Amino acid sequence: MSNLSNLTITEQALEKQILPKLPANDQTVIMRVYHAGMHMIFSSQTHEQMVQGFEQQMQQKQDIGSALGTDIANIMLVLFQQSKGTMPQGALIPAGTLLLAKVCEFLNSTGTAQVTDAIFADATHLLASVLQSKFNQKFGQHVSGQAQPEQQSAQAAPQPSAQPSGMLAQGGV
Amino acid sequence: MVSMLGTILAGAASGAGAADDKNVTEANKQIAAQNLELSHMEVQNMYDQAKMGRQFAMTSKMRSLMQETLATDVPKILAQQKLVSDESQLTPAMRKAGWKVATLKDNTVAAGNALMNNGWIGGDEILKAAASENNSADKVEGQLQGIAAKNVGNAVVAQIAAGGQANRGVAAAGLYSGASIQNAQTAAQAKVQAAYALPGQQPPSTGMLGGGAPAPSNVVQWGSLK
Repeated sequence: MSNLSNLTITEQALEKQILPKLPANDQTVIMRVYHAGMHMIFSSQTHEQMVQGFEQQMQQKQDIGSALGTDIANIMLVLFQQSKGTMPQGALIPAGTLLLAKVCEFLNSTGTAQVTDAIFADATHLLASVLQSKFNQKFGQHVSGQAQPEQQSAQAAPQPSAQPSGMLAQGGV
Repeated sequence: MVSMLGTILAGAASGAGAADDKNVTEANKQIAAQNLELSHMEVQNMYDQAKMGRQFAMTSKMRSLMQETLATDVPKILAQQKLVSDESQLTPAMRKAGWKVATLKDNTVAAGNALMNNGWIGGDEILKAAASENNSADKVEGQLQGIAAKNVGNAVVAQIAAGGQANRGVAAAGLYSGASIQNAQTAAQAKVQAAYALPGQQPPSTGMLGGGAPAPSNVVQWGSLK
């Protein structure tokens, strides 16, 4: 049961919801991408920079949901880029969602931010929208409300935003 | 870990006879599962360490910020009662004017009030302790440490930290109602939903588990996994 003033969604609960519905191989791929994202965010070399970047965003009065959604999407895109396009695109949203849930747990349990189910919903929406718009130009046009000439194949590896606004802002990766 | 897995793998391969392919497959499956499990444990350990480190850092930061609050406000509160916290602060002129050294109880009450005035959670606990007959400086210090941990994530205190000491009163007064946080959140939510909602699509209200609108048919589907 969701709760708009607390965080009831956990990474573990999402795993139980998402993974059993998928073939075993897909589960392995998603978890591998998720683990790579966890390494990227929580390794001793990077986690402090990640949190500082996020704190900076909060001080700049950006809303937490869009900050989280955009940052996790950027992390997914960096991972995709590092895999030189070999990472299955379909793994990005489910793995990113698991990662997002884990980051929300971290922020809440350390008192860095107060993330609620409502904020998680916003962040998930933004995460999915950003990833979809990067891989699917039509979707991107819908989102931006602009009809642009096709310049990039949907299969081409998209570039992460030039200046990630939060966790990556400190140059941690 | 890799070498350990290599040893297990070699052992499993050598231990299984060529005619016993089924056992080899089972062993491989087990090792693969173990490998995934270890990887999961690895990232979980990494996460736990990052969390502990962050919690410790945040508590230390809170304790330091609390020290600032107490150092600024306790002397002011004591001064209203013609009290000083330390004998060395008492000049002959002050003595003549009726000033005295504060007792542990006076100091503890002033600390509790200072914390409560500035939006700290747990200031009332210090006040209760002040009323206790067997209170001690060590006990107060222990309580302050506990209150520091409890205030990690306190929006009022975080705002005070961001705004600096000069804005403490304003920040506490403005944020205590929670109105500004609520307004900012509502505005941000509306902005995100307006920017990303597709025509005819309702933004999900409770995230992935809430059964939001179905994904558009032209987006990358999980089925594209190979």
